[in-house]
Amino acid sequence: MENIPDQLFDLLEQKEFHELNAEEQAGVLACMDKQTYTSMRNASVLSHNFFEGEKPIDVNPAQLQQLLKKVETKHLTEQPAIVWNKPVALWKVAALFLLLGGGSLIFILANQNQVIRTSYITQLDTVFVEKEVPAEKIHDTVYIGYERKQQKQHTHRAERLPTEHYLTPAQDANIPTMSDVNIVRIKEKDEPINNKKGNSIKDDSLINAFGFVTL
Amino acid sequence: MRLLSAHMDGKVIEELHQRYASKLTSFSARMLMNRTVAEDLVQEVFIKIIEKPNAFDTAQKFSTWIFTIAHNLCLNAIRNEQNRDRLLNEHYEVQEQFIQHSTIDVKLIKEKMNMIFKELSEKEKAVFIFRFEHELNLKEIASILSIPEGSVKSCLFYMLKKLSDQLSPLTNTP
Repeated sequence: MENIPDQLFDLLEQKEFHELNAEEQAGVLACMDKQTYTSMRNASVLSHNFFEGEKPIDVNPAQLQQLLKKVETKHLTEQPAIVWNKPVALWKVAALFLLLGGGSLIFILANQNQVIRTSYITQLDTVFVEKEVPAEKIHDTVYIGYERKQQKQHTHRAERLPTEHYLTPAQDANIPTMSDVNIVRIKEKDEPINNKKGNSIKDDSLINAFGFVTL
Repeated sequence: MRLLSAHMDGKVIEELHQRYASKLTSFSARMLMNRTVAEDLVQEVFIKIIEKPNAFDTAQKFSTWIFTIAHNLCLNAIRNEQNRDRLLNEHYEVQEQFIQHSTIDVKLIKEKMNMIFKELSEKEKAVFIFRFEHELNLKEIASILSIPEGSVKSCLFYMLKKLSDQLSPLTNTP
């Protein structure tokens, strides 16, 4: 079909072969002979004539009225929402529904066994009180004070202490010594002198018989 | 086509209906061989225009767009098996309707052409109608049928050749 000139069909409709100029004839003859052109021109003209005698089809006016009603209805129901006038990809809508539906399902399943109790918790949930907080004392060091004891120096004692605190030689003589204390030795305890005499109240016969004594 | 641009109101539809309803009905009736179905189909074309005026691409002619809608609806109707059966039963009536306005001299030729027309494929019928009734150029026809321009050229060439072969005995051309 590369050989068919673009203007061939126009030429077929408009001109007989002998009416073609040299250039047009050359173009036509490149793809067909004169006879073919003539017969095809006849077919082309008849095809045009085929429609020429036709009356234009009368359109039913009721159809136009229906269309006008349709336009009115469309204007009434048309929403000014801009979002719906924009084309949205189907997969986006499906993804949105899946997301919302899935989220709702998970939420419902998660809260299915929970009993929701509503109670009044508190009216005030936060109270601000202004007060001074004393700085905390940190005792990290303890100082212990003590006097270092000096060695007793008897030789200097007389010099440091007043003389009235010391005993006189007479007083010193009256202080009992260890030799003056009556020390009973263990052995001496068993000697006859230290035996029971039987004059204790516990040894009394009446006490032993009656347990008491009356005078 | 500025009428369509801003608002689709009653006046716009009235104007469009006046301009195209008859042409569309004629085209659809030839394609479907049934005037009643064609009228319903044309109504459907206008409803589509009312509902989706934004589908119109301003880069192309309005006539191209409206004929594209009509052609697609015709193809859908033809592909519908029920319609096909009904159309086959009713097509003769349409032929008679087209013939009744003809003169007696061309009656035989018209009958023959009707027979040839009936045997054409849907694509050939559309090309034939758009070329010889609506006088559209090859580019416009290609745009309406959504086929390459070369295909239109080829289709038209072989269709004219077939017509010339079958009509030559009647027209006494060699």
